[in-house]
Amino acid sequence: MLGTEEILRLTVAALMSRSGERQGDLAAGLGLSQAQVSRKQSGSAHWSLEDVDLLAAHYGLAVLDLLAGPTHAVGVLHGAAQSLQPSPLTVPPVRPSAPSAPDRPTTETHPPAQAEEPTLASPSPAETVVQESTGLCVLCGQPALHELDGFPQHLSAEECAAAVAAALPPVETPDVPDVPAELPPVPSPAEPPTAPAAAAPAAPGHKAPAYASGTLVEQITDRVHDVLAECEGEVDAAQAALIKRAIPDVMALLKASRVGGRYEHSEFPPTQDILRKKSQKGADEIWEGRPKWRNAALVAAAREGEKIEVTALDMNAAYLSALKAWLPIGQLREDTGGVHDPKKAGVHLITPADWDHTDLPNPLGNRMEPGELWVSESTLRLLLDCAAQGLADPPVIHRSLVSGATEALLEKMRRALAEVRKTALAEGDELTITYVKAMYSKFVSTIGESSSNREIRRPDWMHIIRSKAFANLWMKAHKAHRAGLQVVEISGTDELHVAGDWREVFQEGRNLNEVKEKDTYILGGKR
Amino acid sequence: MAGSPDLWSRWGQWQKTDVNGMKGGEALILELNRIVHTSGIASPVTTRRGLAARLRYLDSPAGRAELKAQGISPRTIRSWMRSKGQVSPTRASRERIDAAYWHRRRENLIRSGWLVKHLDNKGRGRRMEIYPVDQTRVEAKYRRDLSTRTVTVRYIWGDLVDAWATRDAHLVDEIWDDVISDLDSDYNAYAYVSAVGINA
Repeated sequence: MLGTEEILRLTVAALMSRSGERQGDLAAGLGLSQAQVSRKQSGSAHWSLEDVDLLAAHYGLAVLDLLAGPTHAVGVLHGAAQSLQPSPLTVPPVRPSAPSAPDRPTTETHPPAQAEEPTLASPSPAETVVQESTGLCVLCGQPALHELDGFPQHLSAEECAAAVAAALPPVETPDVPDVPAELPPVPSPAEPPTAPAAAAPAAPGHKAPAYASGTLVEQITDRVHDVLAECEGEVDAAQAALIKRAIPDVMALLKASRVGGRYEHSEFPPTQDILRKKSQKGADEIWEGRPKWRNAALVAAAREGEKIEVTALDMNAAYLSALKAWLPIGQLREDTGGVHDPKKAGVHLITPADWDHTDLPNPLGNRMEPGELWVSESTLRLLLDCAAQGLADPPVIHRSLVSGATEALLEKMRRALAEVRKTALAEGDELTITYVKAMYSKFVSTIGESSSNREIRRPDWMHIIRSKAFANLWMKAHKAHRAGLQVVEISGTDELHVAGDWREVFQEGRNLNEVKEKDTYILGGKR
Repeated sequence: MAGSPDLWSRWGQWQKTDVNGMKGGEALILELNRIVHTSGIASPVTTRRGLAARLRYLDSPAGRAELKAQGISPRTIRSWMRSKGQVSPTRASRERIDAAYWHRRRENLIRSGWLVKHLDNKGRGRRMEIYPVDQTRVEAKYRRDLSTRTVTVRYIWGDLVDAWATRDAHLVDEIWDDVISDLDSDYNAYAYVSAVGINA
């Protein structure tokens, strides 16, 4: 026999799959973050009664229907089953995403948390008395009118819930009469009568957690302001000064971003022999899989006289995106198990499988020599992905040098850099864009054995991040190929040449999830 | 539990269980060598630029004496010095030039006090990561719970560089004991390590 909460989890999962929602969509509807929904669904956190109300409102179901098991809830959602909570005022749930709180009057079967529900049926935004809020409530993040011990907050849980619900977009239900007459008295006697309505500005939804940490973003923008002030507004001088400071600044940013982090990474682990450079300009033994490929069939066709119009696409800030990679936390240790452990990362000695697609580049780059080779974690994961999608056989792993890994090690720093970059792009602030670019690109190029960055020595990270950028580019090529475009050329970290209507596949722009058009040319014609 | 009395009493027998490690002092010497060898001329001696830079560095009475000590005749030294960029010595000679260069550079870094200053970092010291002995081949029941430790090391650098300069391994070992006594009760477990990393 399942517990009520387990049944609720199953129900939520069923409703999500029926409505085609993902956890992120549901989270946005509930005013939570995707991670919170994930924790609640996986059982590492509880669904609270307030969540249940919000869930019911989100799907336009009655609370009782929601708790009556997945089959019943899905049935009610589709109108195939009778609601357990018949009410003269209940309208058929036609808008699953709209909060339907005013649709149903409270009944005595409801828990007390439901009691404040009618307060969300605030008459209309025009009638709300706007009162100066003292700040955002430390409990729920909505504007609060009171301050306790110096913290702005609501006086009771009901007020919080009311503020949260009131901040949700109001429901337009012309066929349902408002029910202000049924309002029960507000529970807290100390509360001014206008408080819940006044605490509700026209903010859309619950405030979602910010994408990047404010302090880190400030650390970057403050530096730009300071240097610009020092240079008395001369942009060229400021740019030179900022680029000069980029390495120490990005290392300081990394340190600040790891404060309070779960893992303490090693910064100077002993360098394994295969990661040691043979000479100053020489390379070590890791094959990063840098793509360099042209579609031989198309080039041959062009030589025969066929005119193919090609667009050269440029990936934006490829290395910045690549900072999100599986990075080993500690010292690399030998592992000869021959099985890839997804919780670990490092470098691997593999024998890759044959690649026999002529219209899609090899994920290993233009490797000519057959036989075994050392690849980094990102390349191995890409090869395993290819195997999972049936594009090739999985590689044979002979040796691994690995350590426990996480994908989130640089994530906080990456988000801060990405946020600053995005803002700077929107404002056309070329100085900040250059500074951010210098920070992330110099970070990647100096975290190995570089004498210009002695704060960290992780050649394994350098390889993994670089090959992640190459893997990301390959995945873009694969996406284009799957969507029916012809991949003509793929080279470097950020160049993808395709034939066909690429705007159907990629968004155009300068943000991280968009691509930029470099130029168009006729394959076989004059460039 | 790390730091148990058991660890103290039996730690002396650590090599019985196929642990990979070296004395902390040895790891410290290796790391100092690494720091010295990542400074200086980066171009290898096989390139014209690297060769010219080394010959220029060695163009002093002490440098010539060092080349001579490497077994190069005074006549050859004179001809190299006269036409620095143009000569192209044999592979063996290049190796001798490189050895003479690093020998001189090591002496100069010690003599000038650069190495001590670099490590002392204006009194702020340097962070040191201590990697415990490698226990991957040890039977599970004999394994000790050892983690990587990070300490900021100050005050010892002058003595350490002196001991390293005079190749006094015993003194370096004693200095290592000072370093690990900053760790808590299980410091004995770090008498032998797999590696030491210094952020310099």
